[in-house]
Amino acid sequence: MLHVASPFLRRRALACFIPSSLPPPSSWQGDRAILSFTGSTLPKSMVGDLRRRLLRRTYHGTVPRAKDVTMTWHVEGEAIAVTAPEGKTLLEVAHDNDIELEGACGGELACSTCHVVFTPELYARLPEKKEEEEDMLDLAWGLTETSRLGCQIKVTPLLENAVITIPEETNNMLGGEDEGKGGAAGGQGEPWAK
Amino acid sequence: MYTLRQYAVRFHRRQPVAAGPFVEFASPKHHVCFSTTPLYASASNIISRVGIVGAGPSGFYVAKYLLKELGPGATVDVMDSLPTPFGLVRTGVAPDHPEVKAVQSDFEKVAGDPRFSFYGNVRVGYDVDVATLRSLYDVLVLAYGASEDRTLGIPGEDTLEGVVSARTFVNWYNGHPDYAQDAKLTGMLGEILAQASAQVAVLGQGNVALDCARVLAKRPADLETSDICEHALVVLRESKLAAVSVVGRRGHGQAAFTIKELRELSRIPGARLVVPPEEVARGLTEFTIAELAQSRPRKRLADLVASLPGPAVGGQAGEGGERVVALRFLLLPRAFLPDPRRPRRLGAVVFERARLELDGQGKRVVAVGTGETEELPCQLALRSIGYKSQPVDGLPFDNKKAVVPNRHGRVLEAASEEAVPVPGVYCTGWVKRGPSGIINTNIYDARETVAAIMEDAAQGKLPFSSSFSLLEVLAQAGRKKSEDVVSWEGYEKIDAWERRHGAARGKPREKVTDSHRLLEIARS
Repeated sequence: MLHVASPFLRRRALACFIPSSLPPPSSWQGDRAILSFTGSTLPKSMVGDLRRRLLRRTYHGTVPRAKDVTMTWHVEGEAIAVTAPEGKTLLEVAHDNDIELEGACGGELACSTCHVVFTPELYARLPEKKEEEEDMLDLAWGLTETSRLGCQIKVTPLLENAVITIPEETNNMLGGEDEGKGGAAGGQGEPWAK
Repeated sequence: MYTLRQYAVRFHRRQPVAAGPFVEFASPKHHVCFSTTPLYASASNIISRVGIVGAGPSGFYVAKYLLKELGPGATVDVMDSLPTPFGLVRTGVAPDHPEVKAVQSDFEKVAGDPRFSFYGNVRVGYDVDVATLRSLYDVLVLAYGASEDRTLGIPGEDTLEGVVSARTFVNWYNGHPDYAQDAKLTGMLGEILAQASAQVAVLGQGNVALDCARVLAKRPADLETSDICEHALVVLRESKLAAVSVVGRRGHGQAAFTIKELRELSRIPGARLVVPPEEVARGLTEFTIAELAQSRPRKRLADLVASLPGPAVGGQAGEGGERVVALRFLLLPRAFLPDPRRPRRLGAVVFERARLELDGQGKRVVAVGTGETEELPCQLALRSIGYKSQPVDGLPFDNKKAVVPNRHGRVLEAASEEAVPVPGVYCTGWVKRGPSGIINTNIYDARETVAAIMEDAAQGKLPFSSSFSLLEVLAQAGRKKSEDVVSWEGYEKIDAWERRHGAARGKPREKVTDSHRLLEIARS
């Protein structure tokens, strides 16, 4: 980053390098946007933040600053208070805070290991599930009426003081012949053709 | 607490004999070992050597959760019969499902732990026996999965060419060295699929069956950017397949496939997914409807099946070169019939129509034959009714359930209620609970097994192990030269080679299917 003493001068310096016709952050692809002035990649959230700071000065409007949201995670009987920045997914928040939440597919909607449970009131206010999320949730262990996949929920002020539960594993998930619509064909031990 | 003997050996091995914030390593130079905490041993310090047989998801998840519990001096050796790790994630997951393979990056992080070692191309039961492994490791975990198929046991299954297990077909297109190099198999599949209006029947309705149908039905151009093997692409390009039927014994309310895969199958460009409406109707018995009402996921799946269009009037072949994928229900396979013009080849499968009934206890829905038969002409039948584990010499096996007898992951001496656990031997994955579930099921499974291991360690129930290394033992037995065992670094060389050659063709990787070549690259 530029090490210019005064914030005012820093912004002016940045303004020389960031083109005025940048598309909005949501349309940038991938996790990082490349800005030529640093010669390296910046995280999308930082670029968005920079852009907001610039606009704030230029347009004198009230542009919301990215703020931190406090929430409580219930994991294996423990309650962990966590502060997370807006925009991160709950899966990222869990990993940042050493909370054990598997994300086997890395957030690609190809598994259900980041399954979390919300309170009914909060669940009703969360953004709609995509069909793909619903399909993967169908396979989640301990599925409830207020379950979502952590990789699909982004931190917003809506989640202020939220209580997020990671469901306990129970033994009956592993056994059972017709359990959870598992992947492999067939079960074991029973005759195929009668 | 350690026994005096354990204490002496740990002292000699320079391993910690006390746990806590102040740990003193005893060394032969000091005649006395001292620490500022009482000499108690936490469970994590008792386990120093872990051996895991099988480097698939179950083996890796056990390694992952064990490494979290173990101390810095412990070692975890994961061995696999193939030169490459990851098991079915590499040889089972379909090439057009790269997002499912993403779990490999999690496993690669586990492999990056300095306490982790990989021993590829080591066959337990052949290169090294179980008794030797038990003497090498404090904890031995069996995670070798299921490498055999369940069979139908009907006439023609073993004699006709064209009856192939789905596992064989999947291993073939995914480049498993034992199948991809089989010229006879490639030749047979190529010949059958190149026939005009070839038809295929897939028996079974799990996700493996849908994978087979999808790979056969997709346009080869749509598979060219996946990591499917080149020899399979050659065959698929020449394929004149007209129709694939995916046949199940029971109704659509009992189908084992999952909704994501079914949706995908209904959206393939160049192929049309159909379901006979009368088979859907006959599958909606009272108890089925009641069962569906209790489970939202099943109801969603059944509704999706019911919403699919019916087959074209007047035949199975689609118009305009479109391939037809038909889901068929309530058909019990009774026999494979030869092709009258070529009696050694498959010509048709005979099914008996079935109706649904509740079993004796009223819990499970079963398919019962009605006496009416139906002949489905096809040249290739893929049997996809489940996998089966094999026993290993030196360990008990439950032949009825085809698993290693166990209780919460502790291997038992025999397959009976009263059997006692074998000290220091555990199991996880399909070899523990049977071939069901998805990759993620191994997470909970592994946690259960690790909990059993740590419990036993804390209670001093683990046996004693020697301090030879696996490589030394293999070399001494004369079965495997050290250079033929693939280390993690060797696998990384294979991985880099495959990615480089894949990039040249626009694929994520070009798999090496020759085991000698794999060993060569690993050694280079």
